[in-house]
Amino acid sequence: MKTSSTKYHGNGSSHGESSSSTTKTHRRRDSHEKSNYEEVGVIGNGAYGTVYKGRDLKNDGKFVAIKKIRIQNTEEGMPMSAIRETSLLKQLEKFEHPNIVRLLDVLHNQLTETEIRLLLVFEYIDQDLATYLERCSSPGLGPDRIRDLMLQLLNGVDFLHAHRIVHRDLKPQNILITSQGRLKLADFGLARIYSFHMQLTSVVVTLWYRAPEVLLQGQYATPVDLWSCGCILAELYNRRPLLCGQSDVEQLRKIFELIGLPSEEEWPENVSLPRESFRSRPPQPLEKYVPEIDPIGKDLLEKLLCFNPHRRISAREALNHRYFRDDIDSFRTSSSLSTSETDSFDTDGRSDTPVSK
Amino acid sequence: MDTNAVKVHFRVIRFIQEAGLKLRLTSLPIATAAVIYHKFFRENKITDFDPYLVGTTALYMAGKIEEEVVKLRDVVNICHRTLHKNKPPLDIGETFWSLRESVASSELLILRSLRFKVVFSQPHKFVLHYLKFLKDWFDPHDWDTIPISKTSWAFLRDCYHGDMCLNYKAEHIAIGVIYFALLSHGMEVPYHNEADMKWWQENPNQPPKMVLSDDLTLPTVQNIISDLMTLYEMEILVQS
Repeated sequence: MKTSSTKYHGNGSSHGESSSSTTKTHRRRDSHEKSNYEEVGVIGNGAYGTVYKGRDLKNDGKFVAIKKIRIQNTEEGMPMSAIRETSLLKQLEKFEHPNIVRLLDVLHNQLTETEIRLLLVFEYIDQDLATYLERCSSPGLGPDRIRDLMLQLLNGVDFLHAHRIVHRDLKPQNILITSQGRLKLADFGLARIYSFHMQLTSVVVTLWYRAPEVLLQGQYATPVDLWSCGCILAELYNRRPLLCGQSDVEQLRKIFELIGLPSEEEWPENVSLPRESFRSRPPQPLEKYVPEIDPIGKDLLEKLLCFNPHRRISAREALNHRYFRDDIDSFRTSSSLSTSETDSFDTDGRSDTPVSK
Repeated sequence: MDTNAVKVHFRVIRFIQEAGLKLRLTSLPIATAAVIYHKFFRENKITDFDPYLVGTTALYMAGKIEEEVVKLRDVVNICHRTLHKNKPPLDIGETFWSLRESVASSELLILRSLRFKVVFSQPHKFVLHYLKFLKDWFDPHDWDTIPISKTSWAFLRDCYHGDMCLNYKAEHIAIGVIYFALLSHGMEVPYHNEADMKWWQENPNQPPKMVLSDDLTLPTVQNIISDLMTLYEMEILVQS
């Protein structure tokens, strides 16, 4: 390995290896291709492909997570979405946001004439929120730890939204927790690269954290991630998922059992199901579902689990919610923050019209 | 870098800009193509790769990156035509298909070399906002008759003939080209001498404003201007 210190990772199209399809040859090619990374095992079979645990041979054999994505190499070269999305992810890296999983490297190699494999190398974190909650002993996390995790989660989501990225699939399985207790989001920004592969797999994607507008196949944007945050907040208290539907319709029914059937005016237009498909019912008190939650946490949860995506709280607003403030100085901090914010908005607005050339 | 390589890069960027305009790409993807090109040759030797192939591929990739997609077919045809003005247009045949394939595989090569980091912060939006900010200080008649904006944009476009874009921050280049444009027209920002701060500096006692740079120094502005002037001297050398 050491002697083959080629400048580029792996080997490219020019090597033109025989494209035999037996698994044996594939395996041999794999180990040859990634000269800088050695595979040590499989982490998981995600909805979009396999994630491997590997070692970074250039970095003292540090563990990394390698995500492999197959993409179609069309007549027009690499698909635009693949180039754009991966380079945007690389661009995000320069911020080194503490609540985002590090993308260390991107490589590619050619599988066949028409297929390319992208390898995304991430930092390796061995625990996700789901296992973290499983390992948690009986009394639960405690309100302070829950508040801390929620703050980190919303911080990460706010960062993504500020950079025009909608995660679309937030769930405990792709929220990672380091041994120091730092929360990091993973698996975002790849939806457009995946979309090709998605059509080929019949993977069951969990519906439990999906916002109602997604389940109804309506238009959606950043608010979908805040709905997921709401489901996760409840799960942090209960240590089990809040709403576990087995199908789109069942998931929606469970949502309406909790928040009540929305009014006729709130029902979005051009969606897959009419309001009449659901039984009318009143909203349930949230304490019934999340008994340990305090009144301020309940207020935040209600704002996150709001049916109307336009009225649902945003990540930035949620971070300013009094749930994240200590009771004593809550008034002072909130007032000083809000004034400085309005000030800067004013100055921004003044110089925002285009210049004439 | 030896002068010979600098001359080659100058010509290839001119080729990229000409072909880019023929492909009806706007200034942003053309600028992105130039950055890809310069970045590639900062890490690779010019003797190892055909610079015009790299330039063509950079143009094609920039279309994808800035979401102004051009067809590979058109890129190959137009770049061939731009490069060989006296030859007849390319027929669909062996040459066409092998050129096309070269661009497609160079794309993978460049992506690997740049490690997929092909989204860049460009000075364009900064130039736009800074000019808008300055406009309000000028006498409207002066602003309309003296082409400060036009000259700034021209300097910005020309700066890509060298690898300045890799050496300075986007917002610094933006201020540099405007500064140079003002100098060239013998203009001064009104009340500029009465002010405590230069127009391009940021007052550290105030919250940051988006139109002013907080880490730009006069020597950097002067370096940007002198780099630009070197490029214009290069133009004469390249053409002779």
